[in-house]
Amino acid sequence: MTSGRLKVIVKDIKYESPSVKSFKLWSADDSLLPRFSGGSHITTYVMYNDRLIERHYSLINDSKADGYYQIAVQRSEQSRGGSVYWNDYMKEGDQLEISYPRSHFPLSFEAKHHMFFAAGIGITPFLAMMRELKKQGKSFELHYASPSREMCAFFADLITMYPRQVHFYFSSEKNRMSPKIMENQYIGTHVYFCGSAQMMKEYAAEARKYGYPAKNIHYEWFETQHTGPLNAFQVKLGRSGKILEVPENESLLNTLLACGVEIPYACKIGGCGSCQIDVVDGEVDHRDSFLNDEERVAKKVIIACVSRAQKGIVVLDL
Amino acid sequence: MENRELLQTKRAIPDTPLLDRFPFPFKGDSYRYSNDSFKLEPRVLLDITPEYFEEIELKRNILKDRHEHAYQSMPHSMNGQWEILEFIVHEMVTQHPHYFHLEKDGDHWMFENLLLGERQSFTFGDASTLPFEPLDFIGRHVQEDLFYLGQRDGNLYLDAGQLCFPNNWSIGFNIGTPFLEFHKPVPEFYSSRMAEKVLGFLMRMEAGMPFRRPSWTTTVEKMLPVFRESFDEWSPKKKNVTTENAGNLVYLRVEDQRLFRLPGSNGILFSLHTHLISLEELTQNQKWAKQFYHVLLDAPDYMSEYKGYLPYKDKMIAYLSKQIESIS
Amino acid sequence: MEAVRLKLIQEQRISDYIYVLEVKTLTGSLNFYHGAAEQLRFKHQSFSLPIRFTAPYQEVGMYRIFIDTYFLTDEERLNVLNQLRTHDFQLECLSPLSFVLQPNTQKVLLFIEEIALLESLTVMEMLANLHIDMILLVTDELQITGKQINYKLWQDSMPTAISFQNKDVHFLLSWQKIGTHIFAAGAWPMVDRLKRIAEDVGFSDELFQFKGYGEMTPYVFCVRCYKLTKGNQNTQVQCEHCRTILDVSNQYSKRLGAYLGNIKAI
Repeated sequence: MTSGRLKVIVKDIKYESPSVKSFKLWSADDSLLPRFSGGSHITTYVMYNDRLIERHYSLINDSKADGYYQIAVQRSEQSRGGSVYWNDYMKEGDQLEISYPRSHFPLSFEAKHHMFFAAGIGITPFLAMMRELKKQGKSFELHYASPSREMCAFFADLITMYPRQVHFYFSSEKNRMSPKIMENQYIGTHVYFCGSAQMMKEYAAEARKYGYPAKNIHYEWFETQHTGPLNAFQVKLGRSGKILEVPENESLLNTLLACGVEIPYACKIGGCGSCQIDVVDGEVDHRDSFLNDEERVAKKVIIACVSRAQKGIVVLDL
Repeated sequence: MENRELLQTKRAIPDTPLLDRFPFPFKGDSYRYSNDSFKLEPRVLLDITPEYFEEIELKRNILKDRHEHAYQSMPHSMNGQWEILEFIVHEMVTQHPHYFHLEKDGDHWMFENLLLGERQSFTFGDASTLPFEPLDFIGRHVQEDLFYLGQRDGNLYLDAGQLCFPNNWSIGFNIGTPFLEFHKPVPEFYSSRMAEKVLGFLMRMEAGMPFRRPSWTTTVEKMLPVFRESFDEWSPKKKNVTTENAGNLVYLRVEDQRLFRLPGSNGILFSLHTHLISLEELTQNQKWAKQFYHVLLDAPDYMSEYKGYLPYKDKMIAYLSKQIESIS
Repeated sequence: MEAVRLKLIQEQRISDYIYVLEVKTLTGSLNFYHGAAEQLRFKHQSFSLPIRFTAPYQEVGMYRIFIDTYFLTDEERLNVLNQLRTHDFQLECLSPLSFVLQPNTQKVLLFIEEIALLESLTVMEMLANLHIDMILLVTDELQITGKQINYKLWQDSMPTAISFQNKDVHFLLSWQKIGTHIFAAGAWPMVDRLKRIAEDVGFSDELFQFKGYGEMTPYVFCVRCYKLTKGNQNTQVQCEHCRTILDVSNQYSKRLGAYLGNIKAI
């Protein structure tokens, strides 16, 4: 999928805490880096051990004022390569490709008050969001949990920029952040969480219990949904009986087109539904964002550009 | 300030024949409402055609005479408007450096339209330094109608727009309404839940991957502005169409729509470039004549009614049929 | 499906026209715990009148029924009461209440006009049963006539008179906490006004439920002169300002509070 990519060069690497480094990314050619809204992230593409590593990082600065992008990466022991590469190998002057900014964790427009809950490196999206809200004169507060003051990335910046709005919780001082803070807030309050999957699930459940409508609860998932290995699979063209092999890392759509089967298509990323094909038999591994859950169960169709077979052979009505 | 030679305006834009550059909208012999967007390549919004000068003049007259009908904006759209101005000016100077020029000194911009011989200096972000709102300003330099769709709290709203060449809809009414609401009248599209799908698709659009889609109808007489506010002025003209005059009275009207995600405001920039070609000129392309003929034959009444050509559909079909016979 | 037969255990007249009936089920059970009905059916006779019911003691098969006899003649009223005291009966034409309790509701603010008394009493019953905090806000008139409502739940809820206009309501709502829901029941103009204020304060759609009574008079936007005239969707109307005849569509603008009126095709 060739959407646009941006070429950037790394400058100003800085330790924000013993385990977190921040990186400024400038445009590597003369083009302007596009602006971004608070909460946006980019995907970085680096080669490590002959493998292409794609990782998502929140943009933490103010694009309108700065002209560069800044990200912060925590060195994680469970790293599958991304954070190790960034922390141990990336140096100033290195160039890489990144995606355009994506906004999957936007601020609410109608919120009267924003409450941010960050655990560890989960602080990153809130840095840009708070900058924006402060500029607009809007109401917000931050609750930030960290193992200790020393390990707390951006502690000094936060204390300086938002003295009245930030609250810290250091486990070393036996001060724990609790979802109870969300209770008894005024109508129109929106709550945002960024941390481990477990933390976000817990806070979201508590927020529901206090009566927050689902629309008022926001959290950021960094895992792209519906990813998985692109294994080879077989399809049968129900009408002619012909069997086709969809190779590893290739899409059903491209395979059909290559074999001269005319399928309408448009976006090729599973979003528009143009390449929907009726399925006669077999189990589909749905990886699109076009069908809703109900449709996946009720209708027997496959979005050819992204979806694959669960197991066995899928018979198409073609 | 350096003296700039004004381009010989009429000769500046290459005069390619209309038939060679007309965005014919049909792929097959049939047409229905669907999500027929496809990736826009190359990733540019502007399409500067030889009609530039007359269309810009027409647009500016409309904005002068009936501003309320042709331009509307919500107060919170300013952020998005500035982003649109920046986006378009940037494309102008990178894609068409012979036509447009920009000098920047921090936030002080000096924009030059060499085609029209116009200069405007302003402070980026300060609306008081421009004669019009940012979208209203930059729209006056391009042929496209431009819209800002604000994305917030799980919905998409028409937050600002400059609509000088409307196809029978009113921005005065629709401003500020959500996507599903302003598509309510489109038959089958709304009720079949296709509108919801398209809304989902638009909301998932990402920066760096713009989309394009065509929309079409027909217009009686070569009229770009078809205002709903003036319905009683142009609607009676449909009665004038006959099989004999359909060739030069009826025009195929195509809207080349382009959609870009604006990552700064998280909204969508939507442009609409309207092209007109008379049926007579269209039939000079035999393939297109046959295709359009079949599309009209196949078109269900609900669609023909909504698109407005039902009263003279049979005359168009008769005309095209005659043309096709004489060709083959 | 077995028909539900009900029998009166106790009755109480709580105002000039409204009665509360404690009934128990003889056979079968109603599908809903709370709802509305339109008819009382006895073996040989039926009566149409506004009816609401709740189930205070679900396990024991008891129901509390509110009936409004305002539209009956004196004779009919006596007849109904006699029948209730001597025969068992069924409820016909059931439908849900206009208020559905959402999960995790901590508190409900009820704004009530007199015309909505029957519905509102039933909603209050339901909330009291489930121990949900309530604040009862009523118009001046209703506070006065409300003193004549001889019903404990109503009195205990301490109805407060409030002007349903901008300032008072805005102030009250801006102090509410997460977990608060609103129920507005009364004439349509009041409901519409309250909804706008609530939205402005931060009560999104799912936090605001309502029941409107009487005439809904929306507006029509004249596409020629851009001014508003009273009128409804899918009708024809003449613009009050520029006299154009308009075909009113079903397209609605929340911002304008009006349907789009197109110039009529000749």
